[in-house]
Amino acid sequence: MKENGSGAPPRILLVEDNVAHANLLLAGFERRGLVAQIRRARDGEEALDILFGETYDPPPPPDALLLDLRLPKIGGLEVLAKVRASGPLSSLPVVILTTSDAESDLAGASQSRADSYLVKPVDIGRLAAVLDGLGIRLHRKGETL
Amino acid sequence: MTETRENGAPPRAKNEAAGPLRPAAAMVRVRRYASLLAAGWISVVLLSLVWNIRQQSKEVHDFAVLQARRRFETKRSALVIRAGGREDTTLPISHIAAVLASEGATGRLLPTEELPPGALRAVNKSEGSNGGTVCRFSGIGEKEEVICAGAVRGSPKCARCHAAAGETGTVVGGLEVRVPVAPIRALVRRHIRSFYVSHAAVGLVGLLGIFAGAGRFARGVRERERLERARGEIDRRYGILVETSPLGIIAHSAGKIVFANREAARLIGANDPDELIGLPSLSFLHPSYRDVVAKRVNAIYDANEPAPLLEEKFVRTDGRIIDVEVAGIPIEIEGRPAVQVVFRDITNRKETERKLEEIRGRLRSVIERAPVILWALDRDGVFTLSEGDGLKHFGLKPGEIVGRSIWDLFGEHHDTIEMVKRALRGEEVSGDSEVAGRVWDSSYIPIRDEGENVTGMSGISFDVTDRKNIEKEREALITELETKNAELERFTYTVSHDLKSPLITIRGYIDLLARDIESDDRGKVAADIDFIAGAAGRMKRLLDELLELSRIGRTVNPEEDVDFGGLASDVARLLEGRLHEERVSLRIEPALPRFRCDKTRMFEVLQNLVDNAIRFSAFGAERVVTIGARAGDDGPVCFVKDNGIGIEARYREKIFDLFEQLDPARGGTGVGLALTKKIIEAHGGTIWVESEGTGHGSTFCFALPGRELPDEGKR
Repeated sequence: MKENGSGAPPRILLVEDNVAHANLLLAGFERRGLVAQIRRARDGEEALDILFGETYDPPPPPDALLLDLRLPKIGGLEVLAKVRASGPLSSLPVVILTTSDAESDLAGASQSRADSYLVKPVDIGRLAAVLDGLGIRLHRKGETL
Repeated sequence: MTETRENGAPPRAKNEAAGPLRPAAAMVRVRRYASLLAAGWISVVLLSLVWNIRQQSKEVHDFAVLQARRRFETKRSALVIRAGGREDTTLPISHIAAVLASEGATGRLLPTEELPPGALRAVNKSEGSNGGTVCRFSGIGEKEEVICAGAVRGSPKCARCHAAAGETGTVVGGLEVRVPVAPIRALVRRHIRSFYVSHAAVGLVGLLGIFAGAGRFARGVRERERLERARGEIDRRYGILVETSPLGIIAHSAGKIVFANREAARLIGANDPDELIGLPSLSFLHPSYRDVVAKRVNAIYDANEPAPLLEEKFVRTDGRIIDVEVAGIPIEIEGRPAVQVVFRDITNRKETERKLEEIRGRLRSVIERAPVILWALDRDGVFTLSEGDGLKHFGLKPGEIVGRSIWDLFGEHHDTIEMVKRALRGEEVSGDSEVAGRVWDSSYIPIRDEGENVTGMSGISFDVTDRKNIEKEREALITELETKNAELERFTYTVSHDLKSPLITIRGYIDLLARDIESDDRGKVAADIDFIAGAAGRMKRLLDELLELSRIGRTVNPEEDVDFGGLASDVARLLEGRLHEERVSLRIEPALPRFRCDKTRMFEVLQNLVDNAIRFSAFGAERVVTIGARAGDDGPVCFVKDNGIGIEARYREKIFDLFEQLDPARGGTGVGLALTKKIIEAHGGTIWVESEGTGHGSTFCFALPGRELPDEGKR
C-alpha cells in the first residue's frame, strides 16, 4: 500500500501554509531527483477536507503526511489527533515539519503519535531517510517510467 | 523580722505574764484576817467580861459603903463620947475610936443641950442630916459588914458637965453605921451571871458576823480575782497582739507619740519603738497630707469615733516615701484622750495597682484604637461587653449595646448568629462574616463557670476588610500576571516561530539561488531573489508591527475627546489610494459617536479594521466597507462592515490571536487584529466579530463603555 505495486511514486500530502517553505521542499526533492506525488494543503482545514472529505480525487488516501504545526484555521497537532482518531487513517505515517523546537510542541507531537519530528530548515536527505524508515521509498528520477 | 519580734518582746511580755494574784493566796489571807478578827473579838468580849466582873466585885464594898453612907445620914446607930483625951479602949465601937485617933479632935462640936441618955438623939437632932460629921469607911466588921463611922466634938457645955463627972479634957464622940455585905454580894453575883449570858451572846453574834462577812468578802475576792485573771489574760494577749501585729500601731496624745509597736518602728525606719516615743504625732507624714490628716485627727477627737481607712504617704527616717493605709481610733490613755493609729505598708500594692492601671490604660488605648470589637454575651445572648474602635462601623459607642440582645440587634446575620449559638452550646468557633459592610474575622469562645457550665461567651472580631481587599487585589493581580505571563509565553512562542519562518525561507532560497546562479538559470534566479526579498520584507513588517504592538500599554498618549466621524474621514483619506486600487468603496455613516480616548490608537484601530475589510472583501461584485455605529447594551457600538468572504463561527475568537491568519494568501502579518484588540482592551472596551458565515461578509464591532461623550448637537 505504501509502495504501489505498479511502481507509481508515493503520494504525499504536504500541509504547509507558507508557500516559500513548500516551494523549498519541492525544490529540494527535485534537486535530489526524488519523485513523489506531492499535494499541498494550505491549512489544517483544507488538509482534513482532503483526507476525509469528498474533494480529494482519486479517492485513495496518501501514503504519508508531512505536517506543519502552525497552520491557519486548524493547527497541525489537531489535524494529527484527528488522523490518529480516525479508523482507516489511524496508522498513516505522519512526519512533523516545523520551525518550532518548543518542548510543548515536541511533547504534543509525541503524544499524538507523530512518526517523526523534523525542525526546519529540513534536510531533504534526512526527510528521505525518515520516510524510508517508515517504509516509503521515494522514487529517484529515471528509476521508473 | 518575726524572730526579732519574738526575741525583742520579753521585757514587756514578762511583766504582763507576772499578772494577777494567785487565787489561793488571796483566800488564805482572807481566812487569816477573819480568824484574827474572831480571836480579837473573843478577847475583847472576855476582857469586857473580866473587867465587868472585877468591876462588879469591886463595887460590892463601894456599894455597901454607899449604902452605909446613905444610912449614916438617916440612921446613925452609935454615939460614943469620950472626954479628956483619955484612951478608952473599952469603947464598944472600935471603929469610932480609929476615926477619932486619925482625925483628932477635929470633929464637929456637939450641942450640949441634951445630955445622955438623950445624947444620941440630941446629936442626931442637932446635926440635921448628917450633923456635919464626915462619914468615913472605916472597915469591915466581924460579921462581914461595912462600917462607916464619923467623929464628933463635944461643946464646952459638954466639957463642963463631963468635968463635973470627973472627966476632963475635950469631949469627943462618934457615930457609926453598919451595913452587911452579903446581900449586896448576892445581888452582884446575879449581875455577874447576867454578864456571862450577855457577853456570850454578844461574842457569838460578833463571831457569826465576822465569819459571815469574811465569807462574803471571800466571794467578792474570788470574783474580783477571776475578773482580774481574765483581764490579765486579755491584757497579756493584747500586749502580744500589739507587739507582734503585722500592722504598724502608734498611739499619740496631745500631739506626741506615746506608744509605737515594732512594726510601726520598722515601717518608719526606726531601730526601736522607743525612738518614736515623744516625737510629734505627724512627724512622719508626707507634707502633702498634713492638712488632711490634721483635720482627721481633730475630727476623731471631736466625734470620738474612728476615722475610716485613708491612703497616705509616710516619709521614712531614711527619706524613702512609702504608701500606707491608715485608720485612726479614739482611745484613752491614763484618762486623757488619745488616738490609736493603725497602718500598714501598701507601697507594693500601690506599685502593683499603678502598674496594673498602666497596663489597663495601655490595653484600653489599644482596644480603643484597634480595628477590633471585643464583646461578650450572657447565656441569653444579652451583651455584657462591647469595646473597640471597630464599633464605629456600626455607629455604636463602646458599651452602648450592653444590656441589649444580639438576637434583636444582629438576628439577620445568620452566619454570626449560627456561630454564637454554637459557642453558647460550648463549642469554640471562629470564622469570617460580613457585617456593617466590613469583613470580620471573629473568634467565639464559650465562658464557663466552675461547674463547667456555659454561662455566656466572649467574642473578638477583627476588622479584616482591608486585608481581605488586599488579598482580593493580590489574587486578581496574580491572576492578571499569570494571564500576562501565559500571554507572554504564547507571544514568545509565536514570535519565535513566525520570525524564524522568513529566515528559513531566506536561507533555503539562498542555497537555491547559488545553485541557480551556477546553472545560469536567469528565470529561477529572479524568482529566488523575489522569494528572498519577500521574506525579508515580511520579516521587516513583522518586526515593525511587533514593535508597535509592544508600544501599546507602554506608551500612553493623553486622552482626548474624539469624534469618530472625523476619525473615520481621516482613515478614509489615508487609505484612499488603496481603496481606489482595490476598487473598494468606503462608506461612513453619519452621526458617529464621540469617545474620550487615545486618538492616535483609535485611528490605528479603524485603520486596521478597514485594511482587514479590504483584504477580505469579496472578489468580483461590488466591494463595500462601511464604518458605522448602533446602540448597544453598554453604550454605542462602532462597527466596520464588509461584504466579503465572511468568517466561520469557530474561527471568530482565533482571528484576534497574534499571527493568526485564516488565509495567508490575502497578505497581512496576523498582527493587525491582535493589535486592535489590545488597544480596545486597554481602553476597557471589547471587540468581537459578527458574521453569518462564509460568503456573507463580516462585521467587526467594538464598544467602549463609559467613554461615550454626549452628542455635541444635543448638548
